[in-house]
Amino acid sequence: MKFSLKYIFVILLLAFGLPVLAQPDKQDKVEALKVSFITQKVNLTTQEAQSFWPVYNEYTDKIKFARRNFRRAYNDVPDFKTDAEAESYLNAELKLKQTELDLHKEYFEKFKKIIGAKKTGLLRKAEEEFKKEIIKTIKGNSGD
Amino acid sequence: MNKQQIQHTHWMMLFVLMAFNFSCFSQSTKPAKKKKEPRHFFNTTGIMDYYNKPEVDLNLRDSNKVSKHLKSYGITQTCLNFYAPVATANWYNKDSSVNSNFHLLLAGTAYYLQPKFKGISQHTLAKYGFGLRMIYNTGKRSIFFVESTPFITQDITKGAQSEATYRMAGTLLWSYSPSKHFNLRLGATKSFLYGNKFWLPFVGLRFGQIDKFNFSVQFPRNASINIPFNQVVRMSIYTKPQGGLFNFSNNDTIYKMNNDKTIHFGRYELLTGARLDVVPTKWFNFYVATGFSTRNYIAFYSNTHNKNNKNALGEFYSNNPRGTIFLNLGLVFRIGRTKSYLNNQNIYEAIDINGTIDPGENNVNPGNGNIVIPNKRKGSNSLKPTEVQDLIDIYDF
Repeated sequence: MKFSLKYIFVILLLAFGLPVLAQPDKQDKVEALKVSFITQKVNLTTQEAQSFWPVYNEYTDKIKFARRNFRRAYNDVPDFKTDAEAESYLNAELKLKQTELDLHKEYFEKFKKIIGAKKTGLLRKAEEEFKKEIIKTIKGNSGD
Repeated sequence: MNKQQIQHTHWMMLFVLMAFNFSCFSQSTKPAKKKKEPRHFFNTTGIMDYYNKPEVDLNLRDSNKVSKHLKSYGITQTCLNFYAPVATANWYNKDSSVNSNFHLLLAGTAYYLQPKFKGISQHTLAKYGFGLRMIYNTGKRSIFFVESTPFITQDITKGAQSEATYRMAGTLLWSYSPSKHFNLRLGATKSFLYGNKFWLPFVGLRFGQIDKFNFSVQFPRNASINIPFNQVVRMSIYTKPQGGLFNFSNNDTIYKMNNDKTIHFGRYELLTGARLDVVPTKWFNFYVATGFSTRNYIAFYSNTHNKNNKNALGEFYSNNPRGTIFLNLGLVFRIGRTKSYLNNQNIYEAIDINGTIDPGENNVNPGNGNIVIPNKRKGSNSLKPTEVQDLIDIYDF
């Protein structure tokens, strides 16, 4: 009896633990979709792909982390009690935008060196198209 | 393993699961803290593997006294492996066209083997190993892999413990990928996988992309056809050796000369079957495998006779039990965030090598659950804004 109770406990732990673990996975699947989308749109050679993807992953990681840190700091703040708090929030957002701009500048240069200006332009267009696809899906889900 | 040890192992597993689950829950309740970018490409990974094959009567054609004494042979084994990244160095050349990296990982194993011989008492043979592995990705076509896992083996049967023996296994490997559709691996390995001490060449060939349908031969580890059905379910048809060399307490007087209290037990089998990997999330996957165990070989080696033997041990008894079916189950847990490596074929290759060569030579492969299978669909049907908030901005709507 003790033995079977223990196994039920393990199964319950897994059942409750897995959904929590599974949460970030959807984001990874969307990332994988984005990679497939970009691969399809920007015709990279094997040599280009080998050099491009590590740099592109680093670029997206940096943007993601800048955005996540901003959200972690300000998403749970329901209201601003003082002007100083609001000021700090606005400054942080500007800082985030500046970080993003700096990253765009830095990595567009790197991309151009690896895949050339034309394909870097195609990459940006592909990213925007992918964004539109996502927005369409979200709007579809919300019934708009 | 006796009942107490089994219970102890189960409670240990339960504790790991609880700690793992609670740490996941606790993430959301912590106050907002600036997150650091991940430093490694590898997750800390834990693998729990269970293997069982039924008992068969030993081949008595040779009328050997030891065969008559042992009567039958079957196997139950449990294996807990882990590896954890300790240090990662990642760098680019001047124009960012070459991304090379170096990975240092800690790896460990706790392995319990219960050979079932009807004629003698139940033995539990343990192997504990702890080692280091280094992977250097040149960023071009080559990856170098060096691994060394010292381990001890001991019969830990209650009341009949044997001496422990220290052994060293290791692998040196060069992996070369001229394209993402083909990979060649060459190297050498000091291995106990075939039930004795051997230096073997390592020759690996893979045809097909690592994240798609491929055929892979990794001698002496495995040969497999890998079929990813989708992002969640993957199947492989494989053949692989399994075995080892273990200390065995001579409390049942299998060996009657020299008053040896400890002898050595070597075993080897060739498993041919199908394995189904279910990857619900990149943090966890499980697998079920079944098939046929053939070319079974068991041997006992005298300690005294092999004391000064630096090469393969000489046996005083060997047998080739007939084949059976087998069952293999496993759970794989991956902890911690990593740097992104989507479509980074060199990191995929490094992950595959690291999984193919497991610590402790148990030939337990966690699978490539952390390699995302490319999605053929154009879009996802059920997206929430929170799931894509890193990709879009409010002004994009």
